[in-house]
Amino acid sequence: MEIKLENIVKNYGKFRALGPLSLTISQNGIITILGPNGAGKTTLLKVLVGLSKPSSGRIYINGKDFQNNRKEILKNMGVLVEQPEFYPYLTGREILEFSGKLKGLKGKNLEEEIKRVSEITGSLEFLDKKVGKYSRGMKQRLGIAVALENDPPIMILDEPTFGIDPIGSLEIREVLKNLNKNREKIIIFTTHVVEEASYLSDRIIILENGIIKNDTLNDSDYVLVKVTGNLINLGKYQEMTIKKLSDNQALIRIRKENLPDFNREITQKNDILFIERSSQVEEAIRELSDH
Amino acid sequence: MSSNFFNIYSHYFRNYYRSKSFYLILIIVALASVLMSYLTFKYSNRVSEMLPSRLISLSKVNSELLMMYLWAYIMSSLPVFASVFFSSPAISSEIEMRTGYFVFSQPVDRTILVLAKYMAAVTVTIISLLVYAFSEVISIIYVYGFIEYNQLLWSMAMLILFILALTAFTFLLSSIFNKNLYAYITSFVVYFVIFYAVNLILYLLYNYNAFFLLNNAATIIERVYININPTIFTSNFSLNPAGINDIILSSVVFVIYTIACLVGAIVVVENKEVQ
Repeated sequence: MEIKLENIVKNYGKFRALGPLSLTISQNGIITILGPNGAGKTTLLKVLVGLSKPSSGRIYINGKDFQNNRKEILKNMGVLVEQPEFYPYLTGREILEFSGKLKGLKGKNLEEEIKRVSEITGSLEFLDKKVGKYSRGMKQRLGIAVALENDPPIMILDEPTFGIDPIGSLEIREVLKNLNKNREKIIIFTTHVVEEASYLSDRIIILENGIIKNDTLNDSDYVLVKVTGNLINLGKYQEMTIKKLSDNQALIRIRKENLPDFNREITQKNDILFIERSSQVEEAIRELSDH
Repeated sequence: MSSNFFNIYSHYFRNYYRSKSFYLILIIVALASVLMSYLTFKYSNRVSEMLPSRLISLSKVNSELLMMYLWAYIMSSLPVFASVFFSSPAISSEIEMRTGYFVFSQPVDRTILVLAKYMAAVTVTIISLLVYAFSEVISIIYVYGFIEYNQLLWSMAMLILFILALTAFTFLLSSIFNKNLYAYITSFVVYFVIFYAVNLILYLLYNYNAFFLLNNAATIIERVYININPTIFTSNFSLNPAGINDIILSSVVFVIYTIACLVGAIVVVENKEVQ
């Protein structure tokens, strides 16, 4: 599977919400779009799944133009955009039947698939309640179950842990982690939680004001460090800053072997939060070595 | 394609008939049925009083047709409320309630979505009006001992065409807006204010019968009993039912509204952004 965005621009009137943005995703794994509120994360996903038309640019999935092959492409995509809402007088099971049938499932296969996805997402116990009675977290779980139906090779998830309690969030993270265990899918998800991005991702794309600020592979030889304090104190580590979060906060990508020095030199001056990486990617090491 | 249509139709239909709006409409229709049944029982012997004195000696058939005209007169306004309740928020709610994120990202053509939801709205509207139709048949048969089935069937056929046209019209308005309230208000205002004002202007200033307005065409539902047009001020009328030409003219108006409004709604929805 390959997802290719070519010079995507999305304007709302005179306001440019996205782009110009080009992006190619050709390797399976979890790709996180990280950025603050208003960065254009959701707009990017909406454009990617056809909920919003780009003002200019093209999207290709496996070489096929999205605009001309929307229905066929969406059959291979599991989508969860924004906080999901469903028809309030239908039950969760009916919602899964509705979307499952549209994805070509029927009969016993559909029943088994509904059971599978609701077990994965922990939504089995409330599946026969009307959606109008669901809490935000229940709706979120149902939304992920809908996206998982028919085991799509591409999943697009917009803040999947949003609105879920802390324990539920951890469960959803583990669901995503397990889905990515064998690297059989492209899972694109957005978040503004750095820890989540760092824990789950194989690749992190940082979006700011609608454009890509940073696009790096996430691997276990590096750690992503959030530094809070006077950024002047960073000294030579300023060069390793991949994103300035605010006047006194920054994300730094640093080799693990350099951590002791970093600790020694910085800890006295700043509050530091370390975030562990999740996977090993040779290409990233080469890329960073070049720098 | 047909299985997708039926799947979407059946789920929207379920969501409609389980909704509070459906039960509210059923209550309104039941109330109208009770009131009209009361009128039928109390007024059947005096129904000729509503006509000018020269027509006072009515046959039993004409008396019954006049009563059925009154039933149909009320009936022709009920679909407006039902359609507005079910159809005005049909598209706008997908945006306002954010269900559009779910449904518009499914692998199905938006045209199929619109048509299936449209048919679901038409079905619940017809079902909600069945209470009224049954009450009419039972009351008329009980009081008069018979019913003019031929006219009744014409009236029901015109009612269904009217529902198809009106639902399509409200779907079009709904597709334009992203807020349910705007869609509700616009549907009511266009039907009850704009159409009536245009009708008055054209008739009183230019002596032109605006047959193309949906509310005027809808009068065929009662005029198949007695050809009195309640939207036109005239003292010339007869107790004859509307002729086939009137029925064809109204049917054409309904069909044109249905097709034009559905095409318009589909075009808008196909290009609609879910924001």
